[in-house]
Amino acid sequence: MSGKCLYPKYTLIGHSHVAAIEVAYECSHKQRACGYLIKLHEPEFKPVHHHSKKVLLPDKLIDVIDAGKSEGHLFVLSIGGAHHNVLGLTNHPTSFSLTDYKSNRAFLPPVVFSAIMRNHLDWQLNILRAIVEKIGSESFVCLQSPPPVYDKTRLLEVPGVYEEQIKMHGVMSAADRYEIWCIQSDIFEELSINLGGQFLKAPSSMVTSSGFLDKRAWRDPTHGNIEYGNAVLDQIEELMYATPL
Amino acid sequence: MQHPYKSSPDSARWKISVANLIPSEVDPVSSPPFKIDKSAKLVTAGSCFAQHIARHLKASGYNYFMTEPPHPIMSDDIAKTYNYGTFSARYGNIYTTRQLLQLFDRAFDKFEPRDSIWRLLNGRYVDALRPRITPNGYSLQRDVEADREYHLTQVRRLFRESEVFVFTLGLTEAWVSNLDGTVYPLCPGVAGGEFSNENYTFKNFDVDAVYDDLAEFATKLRIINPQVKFLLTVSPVPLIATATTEHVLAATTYSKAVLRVVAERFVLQFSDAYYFPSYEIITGSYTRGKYFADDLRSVTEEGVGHVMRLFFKHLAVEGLEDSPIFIAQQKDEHTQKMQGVIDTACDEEALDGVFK
Repeated sequence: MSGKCLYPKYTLIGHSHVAAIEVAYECSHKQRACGYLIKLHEPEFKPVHHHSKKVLLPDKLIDVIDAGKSEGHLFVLSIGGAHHNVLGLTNHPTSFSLTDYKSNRAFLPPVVFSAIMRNHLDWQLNILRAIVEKIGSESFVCLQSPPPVYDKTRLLEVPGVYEEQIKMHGVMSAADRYEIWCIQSDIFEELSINLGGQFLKAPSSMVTSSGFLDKRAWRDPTHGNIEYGNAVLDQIEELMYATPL
Repeated sequence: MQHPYKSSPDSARWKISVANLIPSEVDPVSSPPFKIDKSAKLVTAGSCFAQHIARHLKASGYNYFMTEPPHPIMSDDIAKTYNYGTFSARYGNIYTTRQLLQLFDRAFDKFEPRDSIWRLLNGRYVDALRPRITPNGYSLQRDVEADREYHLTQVRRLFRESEVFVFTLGLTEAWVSNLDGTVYPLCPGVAGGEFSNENYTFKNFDVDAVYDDLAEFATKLRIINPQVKFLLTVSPVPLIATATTEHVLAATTYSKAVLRVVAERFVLQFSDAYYFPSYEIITGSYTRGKYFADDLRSVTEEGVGHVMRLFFKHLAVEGLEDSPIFIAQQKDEHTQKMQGVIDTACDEEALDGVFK
């Protein structure tokens, strides 16, 4: 890496995508600069509901954030990235589309779906806000989740945890899945910037010309594989040598 | 020989049927030519007062027919914000009969307004024929066009399948495009677009114009849907502003008078057409103004309740309780299941794919 190293290490906090990156990290042959890696699904780190829909960060999570701050880490966040698949992987029983307004499906214009998605992501967005508030004035980046897989056959062959739902309802069109993922990305990007951070898009080497996840990065309907994880780690480590955020 | 008034019914006598009754007992509804059963597809359209009727019909257990219903993944707040369920389709307020006629013609490809997409000050786009349907507009012009095309498909379906068309006549005043006569629900420049005297003209439709448009609409509708019944009301809500040179109170009286005459003429000319006197129920002097809120425009819930109570009393086939039966919101089980899958997915899933 050229340039000045601004951060000695990074603290990575997030949901299932962090777990996928962790595998890449552990299997990597490169010297990686990860300081702390926190998976928010784990009970001791899992944010909980406080009254009035506020987010309560558990003490262990706060301890890690404080440690990262004191060591001058770059904070890398990957919150709620899988949620586009809640609304945008399988067909809903009341089928809808964001892109096809001529079919029998209910057409939901993107502006309306964005409001729906924002509402759906409310808890995730509040977690992001709470963590960033705890990070304070330190720099942070939010990771864009991996784009969707274009190939329906792949999704049927490797359905992951969605097997039952995919069998029952089938998979939404690639166009709709992509639009829904874009809307989720836009929401997280907007919030990240509004909170003073940066939004790190999926590695371009892992994305096809039409914006879908490249075949080399395929794993399951939600996550990238080790190669994808390594590409993300490379991106993060580049940031540590970039101009200050 | 006795004069006719000797044998007139109580309902024909002011003292008996209005002055001497407590307000909630006043019932100016005459015998309708048809009744509505629970299976009949009821459609609403019209001015803002029609939204009250829509709201109560939805909650009533009757077949309130919507071709653009709220999707189960939508919360109530989002549905309301984006006007899903406000009317039977997302056409927004239809204030004039010319607007209604043009909606029909647009739906069946007989009319395509040339000036139909406006920009907001923030650069976003609105559908000029329903500028408030999506607050803050659309980011892309093509999104307006896509949503409109879908909407008109649903409007066609609505016109074809409706069994009782409930229309609330709202205004006689409108702004009209000089290019092609398009009537807009709002003056250009109010919610998008830019006003100019060169491009737009104010029109205050008279009785003949309002009637002719309504009659043409009804005739066209009955060609594609011969069995449809019409139920007309006149909105009791005064004008928020007039573009005439008259005082707004005088302009309001004129508008409502025109609309009331048109409604009367219409039901005399068309079979299976009925005028429901919600205007009279709300504005009748017997209320002493209590069915209007402090702004003297908004209709109170008490007033709407009186209207709907009489609506169901006289028009419903089965007797209906005064209180509407609220239908529990359909839960979106599918999304809840998918959410559950995400929530329970954990590290094992990540490790599972390591060696693939």
